[in-house]
Amino acid sequence: MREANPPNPSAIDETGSGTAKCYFQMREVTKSFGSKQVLNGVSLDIFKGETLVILGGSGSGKSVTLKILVGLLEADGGQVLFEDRDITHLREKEYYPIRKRVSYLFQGGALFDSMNIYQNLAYPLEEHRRLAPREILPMVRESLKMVELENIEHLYPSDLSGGMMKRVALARAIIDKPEIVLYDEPTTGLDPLTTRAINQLIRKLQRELSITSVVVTHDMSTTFHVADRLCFLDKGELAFSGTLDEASRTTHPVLRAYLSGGQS
Amino acid sequence: MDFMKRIFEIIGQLLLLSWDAFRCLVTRKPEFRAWITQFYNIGVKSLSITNITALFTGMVLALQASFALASFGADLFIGDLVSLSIVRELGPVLTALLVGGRVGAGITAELGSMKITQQLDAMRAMATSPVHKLVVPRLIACIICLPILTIIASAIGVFGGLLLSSVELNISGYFYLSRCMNALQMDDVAAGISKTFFFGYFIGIIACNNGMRVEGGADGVGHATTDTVVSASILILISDFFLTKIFHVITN
Repeated sequence: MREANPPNPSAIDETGSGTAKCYFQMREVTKSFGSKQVLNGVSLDIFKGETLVILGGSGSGKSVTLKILVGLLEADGGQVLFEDRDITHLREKEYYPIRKRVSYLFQGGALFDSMNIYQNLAYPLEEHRRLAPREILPMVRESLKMVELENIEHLYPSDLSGGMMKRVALARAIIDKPEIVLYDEPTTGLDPLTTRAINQLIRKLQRELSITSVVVTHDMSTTFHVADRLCFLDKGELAFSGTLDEASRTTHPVLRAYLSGGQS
Repeated sequence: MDFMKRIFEIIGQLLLLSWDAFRCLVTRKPEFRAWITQFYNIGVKSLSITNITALFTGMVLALQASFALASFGADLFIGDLVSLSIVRELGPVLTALLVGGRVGAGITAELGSMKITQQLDAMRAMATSPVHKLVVPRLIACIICLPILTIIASAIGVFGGLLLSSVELNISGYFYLSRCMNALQMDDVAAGISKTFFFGYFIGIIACNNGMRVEGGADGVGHATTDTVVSASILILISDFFLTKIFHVITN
């Protein structure tokens, strides 16, 4: 069952002339681990300026899709393009220019537990911009303020709650002013209030910093809060792609179940 | 057949990681802060375990030697036996085995935990290299600290023999030390110390490789840690034979 509606990002430059209108394009991408086929011919575009939600159940290939985009995993087949350039089989170092423009928010935060919060947030700045500590501290504070946290620079990740860790990880993801943020299950395991706060943060980042966002989730409240466009992965295949309005008219039974579950 | 395939696979992984580490070492700015931290963790923190072991090894060696040599009336040569055994073999191998157990397990557990909590992926996603940030400082610290630990441990082991000889066997310290100096040639010291650079490399590369390849959860970290200690110990003992042979050929 495949219902591949064409993407309809209303606020996006459709001309495509001169500069690429898409950041990422996946073309018939396949990926398997041993005998388990995780992605089976997935094609999707990520347009500049949009917030794309990739929805799907556990094991549907959502996180693998994100990892393939930035080269943390290599596709077995198909093609991945970044601004129209084929990046499917680059060497590790060749991904660096892309990764400096793209931030990745990991499911568990992936904060470095041997470093305090200041050092965690300073890490990308020290690595890429070679800034002095006196220049970094205000940036760390500003980034923490953006996610509504203050005076925690001296704490270690083990001192933080799950929600705070997610927010610190988000602060680290945006501190170097990325063009795109990839969110891997940003609200999984969080209480409803923290989930709501994270959802609002994702929206705020898009509004205030014009960041393109790709949000992988199975949380419908996140989907309804942040999505400009929705892709639905089912058993490793792209079963739906379109706006939330279009999704509400879908005939795909699993997606319908998700949407009705989220609205109930 | 599968066993041999697995062995070649592991050798391939170790060579690739070594090559990556070497490239990072020569092409990137060294992370001196991380190096110093690892020198402290791997070198300074291993001092107590290696030195206590060396002290008692020297003492027990002197005691055993006194039993055996006394029957020939040769117990005055205890200094020769203890110093040669410690400097050429026991010092390097025991230090390497102890450091392999303590440090190797620690490195694998640390990197393995970072792997399963996606911290290694986070480094890669931020356009930085885990090999440069994590592997190179640990590998360098292992290669440099192990010879230093061995020199200190060997000296303490010889001192252990002196302690026992003078207290238990009434052999004067001066005589014991003069026998040691007489028995030891520069080649012995060089052969003993040279081996430890290789042992340090084996410990570091096996520990880092196993840590960075952990799969699963805490269970995977446990398996990898055990695997590191077993593999490093076996490799140290096997390579000790061949390195001894090689150095013997070179020095003669």
